Amino acid sequence: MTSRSIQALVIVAALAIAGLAIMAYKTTVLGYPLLQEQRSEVWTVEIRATVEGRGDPTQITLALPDAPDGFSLVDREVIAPGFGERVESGPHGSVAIMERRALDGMETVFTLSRFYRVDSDAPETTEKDGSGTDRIEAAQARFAKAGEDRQEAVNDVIDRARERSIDQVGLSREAAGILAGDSGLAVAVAEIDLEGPDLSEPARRLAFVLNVAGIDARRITGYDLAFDRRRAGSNTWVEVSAEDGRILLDPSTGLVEDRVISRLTRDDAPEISVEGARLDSRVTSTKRSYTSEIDRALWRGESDAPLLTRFSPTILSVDAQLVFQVLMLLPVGALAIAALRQLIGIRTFGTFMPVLIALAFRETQLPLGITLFVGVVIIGLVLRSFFNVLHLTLVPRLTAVLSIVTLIMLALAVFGAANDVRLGLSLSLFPIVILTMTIESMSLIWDEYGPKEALTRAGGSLISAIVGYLVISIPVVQHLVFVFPEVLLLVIAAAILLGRYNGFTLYEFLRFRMIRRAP
Amino acid sequence: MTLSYEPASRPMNRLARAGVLGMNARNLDLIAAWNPRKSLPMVDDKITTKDLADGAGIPAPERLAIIEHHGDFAPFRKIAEEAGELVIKPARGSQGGGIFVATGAGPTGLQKPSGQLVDWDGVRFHVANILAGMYSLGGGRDRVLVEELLKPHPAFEDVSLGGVPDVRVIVFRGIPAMAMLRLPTARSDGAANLHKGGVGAGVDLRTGETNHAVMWDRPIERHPDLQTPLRGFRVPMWEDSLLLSARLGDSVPLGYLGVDIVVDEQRGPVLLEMNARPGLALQIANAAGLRPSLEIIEGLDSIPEDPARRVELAKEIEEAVVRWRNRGN
Repeated sequence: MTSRSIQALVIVAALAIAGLAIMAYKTTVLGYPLLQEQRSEVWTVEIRATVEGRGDPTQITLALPDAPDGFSLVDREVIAPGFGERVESGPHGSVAIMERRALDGMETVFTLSRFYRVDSDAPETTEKDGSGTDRIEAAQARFAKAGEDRQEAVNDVIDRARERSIDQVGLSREAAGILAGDSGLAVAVAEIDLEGPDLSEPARRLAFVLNVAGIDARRITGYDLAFDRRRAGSNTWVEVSAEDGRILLDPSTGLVEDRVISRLTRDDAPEISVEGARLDSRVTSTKRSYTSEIDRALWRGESDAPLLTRFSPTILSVDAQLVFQVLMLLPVGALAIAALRQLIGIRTFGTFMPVLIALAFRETQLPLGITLFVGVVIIGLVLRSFFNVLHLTLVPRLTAVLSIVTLIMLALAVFGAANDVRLGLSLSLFPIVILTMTIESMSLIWDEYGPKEALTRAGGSLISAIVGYLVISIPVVQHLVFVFPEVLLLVIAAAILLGRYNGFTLYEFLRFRMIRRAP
Repeated sequence: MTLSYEPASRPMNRLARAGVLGMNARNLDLIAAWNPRKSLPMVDDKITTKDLADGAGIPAPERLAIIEHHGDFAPFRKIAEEAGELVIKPARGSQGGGIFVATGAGPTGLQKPSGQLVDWDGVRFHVANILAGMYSLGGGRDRVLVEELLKPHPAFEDVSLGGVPDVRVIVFRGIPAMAMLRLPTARSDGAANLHKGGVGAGVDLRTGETNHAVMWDRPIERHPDLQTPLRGFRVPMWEDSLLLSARLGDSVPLGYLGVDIVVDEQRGPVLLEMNARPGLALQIANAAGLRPSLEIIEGLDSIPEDPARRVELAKEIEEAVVRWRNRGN
């Protein structure tokens, strides 16, 4: 092995290690998606409260929404100018507490919570906080105090539900159905005159019945995240945490809730409480958006690896990103064509002509692209032969051929539009200058070396362009080069290896087959 | 000391076993390693090549004119009408592109070997194309070289149809390594280039005798037009041709070189042009790989100063390679 080969191998190894190391860091630590970019659903819940103070010490306690099942909370902001603010998590959920020594006049505070869909099948099981038994005991004690005839309605519900079910989840579901469907029974339950919260509220009633049956159930409030809402009202549900599962029941329909629910408060905790000031209004809005995994990784990266994040192409404007998404593919396409050249021995017109044609194919798609390429080259060749008769010198002739190619493009676009085929934009990316040079060199080779050689090279160019196109249209490749620009270090490493390859090409086995057979 | 050949590394496939040199290996191990980039323009431009040959006392075609601008055309036309026979070439052309051979000149134009008359307007167009760089390596402006038309040695009459046959010798470190004779055919229209349909015949360096011939990369036994046998033809003035190619090794700072020689009926071997990136087709013409000879030459500790001694060495190497090739038989 020569010293030059060793040198090349060292450089290749260094490039490969550097590229792979940066990629590994970005995927494992920063969470950049290695494969396909996934768009993930993001919900933003904004709660805005306006209070009017009279110069007294003011405390606002605002219940904060929790991440729905299958989502995770990535960002929570409390914006309360002039207030001291903190977020506390308790058995009833999280609350934002904002305090101010003296509040005068109207002030608006708001909280923003962002949830990303995490697509994990297993919903996070909320840890049992032990409040379940308290609730059951309280309900049963309260139930025991009621009159016997009143208890009957509750027992009736429980017995009927138990008959039709085999476990706690099933019992809860049945009980909800009975209470929602049998209004007489529901009213009977509601009429139990007891101290404590009013049981005419369906969720409270259902939770009470289930607690009496010894099931951990609690009333919750929250928002269903299904639409964008400017003024979202909170709804109530009953959350059942049984040994065999956790479900959310809609007490008004008696059905299991299958929508995306962001829980706000539990038990009978208030959604907002204001001390020392008057609550003017409280408005909640919910908004869905989609964001890329990369954004999410960037959020994380900003704090973990500011340098790497700052120099990621994703900080570019969307326009610039689109340009680079194409530009970054150029080296990959060129590598594919270099491989064809070095390993297979395909000959082409010009080195980078096939790469540019491949990029053009990206816009036109393959069948249309090939048709256009072949069509334009053939028409160009025919028309160029007329210029040959006129004995034009090289540069003016190229200008004339260029004009013709442009006109062919225009004619095709107009013809396409007349037949409802929109070609305009995809045509504009066809490298007109490259096509002109191809026509010129093809006709030159046709004259000098004959049609066989010209067609061989034209075919080689077309095959290279198709292979290049196929490579750069692999979604993973597009994703990798854009999210991990360091992939280009690997491309350089591969190019060096190809450049140092001194073995035979596939074509040479054909070309020199005669020597092989010779004695 | 008798030379012998053993492959430097274990051959991985049948082509390597036959000692074939591939395109990638040629580019990397020979051109990149032995031909310094700054010396390439010297042989890429036929005008500087000619100056170089003149300086070294190596015979080359007589230069009739150089056309650098369109304005040079009128004086050229005068010279051409006087000379009658001439060759118009792009100074930086490759693979025989843009070469115009005229066998007669008159007030109307030039006559091609095929008898076709090209009027002066057509000649001017051709010259303008060359000047614009249509045939030049890497594009860019070019100059036109007008040279005397060499006359092939009468010995070639039996194997060559029209045009001028030439001998291509691969010279490595000043030592001829392999040679082929290129013969024009009716198909190639007087050109000796293989890709235009000329015949390539491998030449035994020891004797100057052809041992194998191909056309369009396929073996043939007889000239397609003349039906004369292509094996066993003795190239005239072979020793002098070999010596000429060996002498170039001293004058050109290129380790790996293709030398094209025309054996003129009066002047004997004349340097036609040099090529810093000689093609590999001569392996097909010889039905033999180039690598064994190159490996022996690469392994030599010292290269003799005397070109005649290098010619002797070339023959010894050929002997060793033939022995290696026939080892199985």
